[in-house]
Amino acid sequence: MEHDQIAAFGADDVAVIDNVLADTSVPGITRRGIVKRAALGAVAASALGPVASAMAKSDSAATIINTAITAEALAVTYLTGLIENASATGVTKFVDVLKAANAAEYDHYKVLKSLGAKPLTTKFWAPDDFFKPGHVFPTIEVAETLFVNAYLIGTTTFAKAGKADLARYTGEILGVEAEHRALARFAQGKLPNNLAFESYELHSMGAIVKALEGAGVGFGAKGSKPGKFYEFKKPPQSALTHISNPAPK
Amino acid sequence: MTDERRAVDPQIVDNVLRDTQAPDPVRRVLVKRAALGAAGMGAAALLAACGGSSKAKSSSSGGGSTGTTSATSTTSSGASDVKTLIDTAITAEALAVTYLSGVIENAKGTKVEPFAKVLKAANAEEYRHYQVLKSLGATPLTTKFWAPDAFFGPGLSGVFPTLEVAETLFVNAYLIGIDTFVSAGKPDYARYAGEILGTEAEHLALARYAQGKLPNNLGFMDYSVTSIDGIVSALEGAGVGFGKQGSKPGKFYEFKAPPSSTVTSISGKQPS
Repeated sequence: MEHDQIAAFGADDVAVIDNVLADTSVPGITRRGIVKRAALGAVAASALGPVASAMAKSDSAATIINTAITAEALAVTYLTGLIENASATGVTKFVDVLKAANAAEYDHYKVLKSLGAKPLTTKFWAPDDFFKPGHVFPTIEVAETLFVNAYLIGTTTFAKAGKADLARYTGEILGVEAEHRALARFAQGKLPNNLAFESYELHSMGAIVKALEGAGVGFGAKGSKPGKFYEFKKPPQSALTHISNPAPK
Repeated sequence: MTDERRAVDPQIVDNVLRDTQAPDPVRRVLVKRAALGAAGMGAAALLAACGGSSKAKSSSSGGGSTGTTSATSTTSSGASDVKTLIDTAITAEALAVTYLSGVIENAKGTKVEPFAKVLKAANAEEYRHYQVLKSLGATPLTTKFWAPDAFFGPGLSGVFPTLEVAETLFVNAYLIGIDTFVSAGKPDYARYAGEILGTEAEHLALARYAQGKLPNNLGFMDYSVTSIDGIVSALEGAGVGFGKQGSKPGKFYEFKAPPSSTVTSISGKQPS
């Protein structure tokens, strides 16, 4: 998307540009024009959120957060469906854990949105197998492994862009996704904490999407396995439980 | 006091100026000045790395001011902060291995026994972290730890509450690591910190589960402590002594490679 390529400025950037210009022989009227343009850029950036600023140094920052918020919407859609059909999906024993996971994914969604992220779609194709008893926790294990991997891509991208806070936010989220992964393994009777280092096998968000598509998920389109379309919506209270730390620090 | 001005990517300045009426000679001067400013920031970071500003620990704010952290930190953070971070991290990993090995060796017949395999895996993971950090140049600040008796408790009843606190601090420490490594221009190290903190978060959830608590009670991992010194202080406040007697009744324990009876097979042994 072309507008994603626009370098966005924060208020501090505008001040610095003004300082630089003030140190030169640029006529006052020219300087005011340049600063005004930069300030307009800053307004646009604030509308898109701080992440847009990161794009000045990393073309893939928007891809990172837009893919991430899409994955969070997918997770909320799926978990809400599981919780609302707990007996049929065979997850009754773990419903509190799933409600907490759902609340966490929805917190991630809201925070990413506040940072300027936009879901690529809110309509998902999910294979019927994902809801069958015995298939749920293996599905969650695969998904959470990919989500951890995705946020590690985010850590790398934001770190390369020098965006320490954004890089740390990805860490604050991926720890939560790792918890979900371990609990999904536990629910299958597997050793929950089987890794010394979280998996970073995939190095692009495109590969994450491809892996989810390979599992049968469709993003705004029919997926590769028999299933149905589901539309993301704000999860009802009955599909959530109280958790702490709803936002990064 | 360092220059408070932020370094702006000269390419950004150039892009802005190309959109304006600024004549080419003026644009070239401005871009050159921006480039010199960026180089100045790099020099400040190098000076800090050489000890010129070593007192500034990982000081990035936790306030979410996403636009200013990296530039501010660039002037006060560098190799010395990275070294402090990884040395503290490897010391914490040595502490974890020392504690977990002791717990596992005494687990039989206690309420910890049903979780022995999880603890053995956790021990194997902490030891891998230790080994990888060592390969990255980390040196433990000490291998002798004072652990309060309450960390064990009657029938090892103190183990999971202790692990919950410790793992929360370890996750927090590696989040500080991400800040520090980004500021030092080490994106791979930042990701390694992420790869480790995920596993520490898993331990946290499992320690909560073992106490009958909701295991995944957080939307975002805790980042209450924003300096690595703060992590050490928190552990000392809990009674741990690093190379010296701690603040609560306890004993000294010496770190050693964990015996095979206290570990189990795990995967993902290297960062990617």
